[in-house]
Amino acid sequence: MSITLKEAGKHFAAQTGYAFLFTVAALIAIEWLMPGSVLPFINLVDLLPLTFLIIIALLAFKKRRKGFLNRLHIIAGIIIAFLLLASLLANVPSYGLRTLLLTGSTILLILAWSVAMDDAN
Amino acid sequence: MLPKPLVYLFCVIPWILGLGAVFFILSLRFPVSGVFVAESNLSGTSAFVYQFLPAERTISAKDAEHGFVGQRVIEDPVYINARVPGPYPKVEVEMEFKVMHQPLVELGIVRDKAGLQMDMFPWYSEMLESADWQSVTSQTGKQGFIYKTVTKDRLDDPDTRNLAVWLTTTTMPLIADPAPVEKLVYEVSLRGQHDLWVVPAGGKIDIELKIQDVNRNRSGGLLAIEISKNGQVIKYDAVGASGSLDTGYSSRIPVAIKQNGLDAGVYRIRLLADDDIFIREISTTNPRFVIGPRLHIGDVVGFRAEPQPFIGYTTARHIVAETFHKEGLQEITFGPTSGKVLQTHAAVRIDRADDIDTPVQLVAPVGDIRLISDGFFALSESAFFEPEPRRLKPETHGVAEGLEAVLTNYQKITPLADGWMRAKTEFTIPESSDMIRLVLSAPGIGSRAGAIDIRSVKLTYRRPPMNWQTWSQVLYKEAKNAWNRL
Repeated sequence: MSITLKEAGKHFAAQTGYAFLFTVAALIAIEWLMPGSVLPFINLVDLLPLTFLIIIALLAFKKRRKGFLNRLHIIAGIIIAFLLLASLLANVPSYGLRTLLLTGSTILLILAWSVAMDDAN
Repeated sequence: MLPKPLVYLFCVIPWILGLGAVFFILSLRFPVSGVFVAESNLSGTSAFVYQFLPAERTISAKDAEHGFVGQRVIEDPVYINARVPGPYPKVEVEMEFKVMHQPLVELGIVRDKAGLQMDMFPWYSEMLESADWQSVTSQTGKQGFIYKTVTKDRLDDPDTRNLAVWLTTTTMPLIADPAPVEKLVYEVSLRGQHDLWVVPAGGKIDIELKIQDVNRNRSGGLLAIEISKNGQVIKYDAVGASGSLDTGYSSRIPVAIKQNGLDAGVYRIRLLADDDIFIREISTTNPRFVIGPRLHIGDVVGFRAEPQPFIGYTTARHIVAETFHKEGLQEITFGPTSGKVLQTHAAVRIDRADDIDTPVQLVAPVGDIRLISDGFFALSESAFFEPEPRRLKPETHGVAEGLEAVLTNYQKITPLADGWMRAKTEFTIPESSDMIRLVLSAPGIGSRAGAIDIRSVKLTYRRPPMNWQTWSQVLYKEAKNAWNRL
């Protein structure tokens, strides 16, 4: 029932990171509901793509388990990747062939990543 | 080596801190009491109340330089945007301000995104702040102010003479003439849009206009006619002016405005047309009809060889006259006073402060002049009547003009130290609005070199207190607003 100081430090850092991520995500949601309510002159919604990127990074580096949990891991990755894509597209001033090609490439990248991640099964 | 429970206990701390921060902001965002207050000193540091715009009509005041922190308004109108902190139906606006050479101020809210619909409310009146004027409610529930020698029944009196109205709706008097008279013909040259106010005679309105389109580059303009009573439209019609394809004006086209079986009351006939449509003649069997408060007497170039003088009768106290042609330069006689129009495209204000409460003669010897007044104009003295009380304006001198009462829902301001004042009013917020825009109007402030110093704006948003029944409704409206924002 005891762990080393190094392991305890790693665990504490991970939990602090998750708590921070949760707080930022919650504050972004509040900011979206009422613009200006969290920080007066900084629009926290602008941090949305960065938040999604951090979550994707966490999912990419997190140790995966076999079977159903790996599938769940992949589905979470796909959802977050599409949310990132949607948040980026929401800031595109105009739509055209270039946007379509970029969007298509990103979707193919997400699918390729999903297939590659399926190796654990 | 550390015991696992101790490590887990430490790991809970960042979660508690994060959750605490979220709940703290949520409690600010969803106040249980249902009251959210946003206050600003207009220095640009508030996230909810912005500064007055446009910037060229205001001065940012610094304490050392101006003796206060806030904004100084030097031109009219200005507006201020405020962020609505969620689904609130109402907002109370409170302002601390000081006026210099500005006797009247109005505050309003913009109702649509295009900024075309505005609800204006009385905000400050130097005249009504005097101890001689008392705020009263009449027996029929009319709100207003009366002069100290007058009783509150004056607000219910159908006689609109010596009565003014300030940003409130009034009911037209129920009047009627027993029978039509022999046809009266008036030669005029009224240009563009006008409002005619008519008393039915024998239950009838019988007016004939002769209109003319003076635009030689089109095949005919349009005159729309709207007849209404107390704001309710009775008839809507449109007439095309045939126009002219040669180099002359179009022929004069007769337009009949006839209504039968009318009840007693005052009927408003709105004539909607562009400035190329002229009314050259009005003939009627209705003994009482007036025009106003806008009267645009057009030129007669190409129609008559000699200038056409205009003679009218009015109880207006203040007129603004402007001509757009050098042929329209003239001296206008306005009862016992007069005013010279010496330049084109320059508005000349003519005010009279006599105690005559019967219609006075207004003479524009060469016509070709646009008049905007606080009253109405008749084309003969006997035709005059007042369809509604005249508007309270910054130039209104109150008792010096014989004014006895003002119909208004104005609330007296709260005086503060050093000449500062506090006023407040409540507005309903347009549904699903993230922002509201308030408009501050100080008519004529630029021309009299006046100013309004504002040191504080406080917005109090109110909704029912949060409970288990209301929170779901609030959440639904929040989600709807957020969806609209997408």
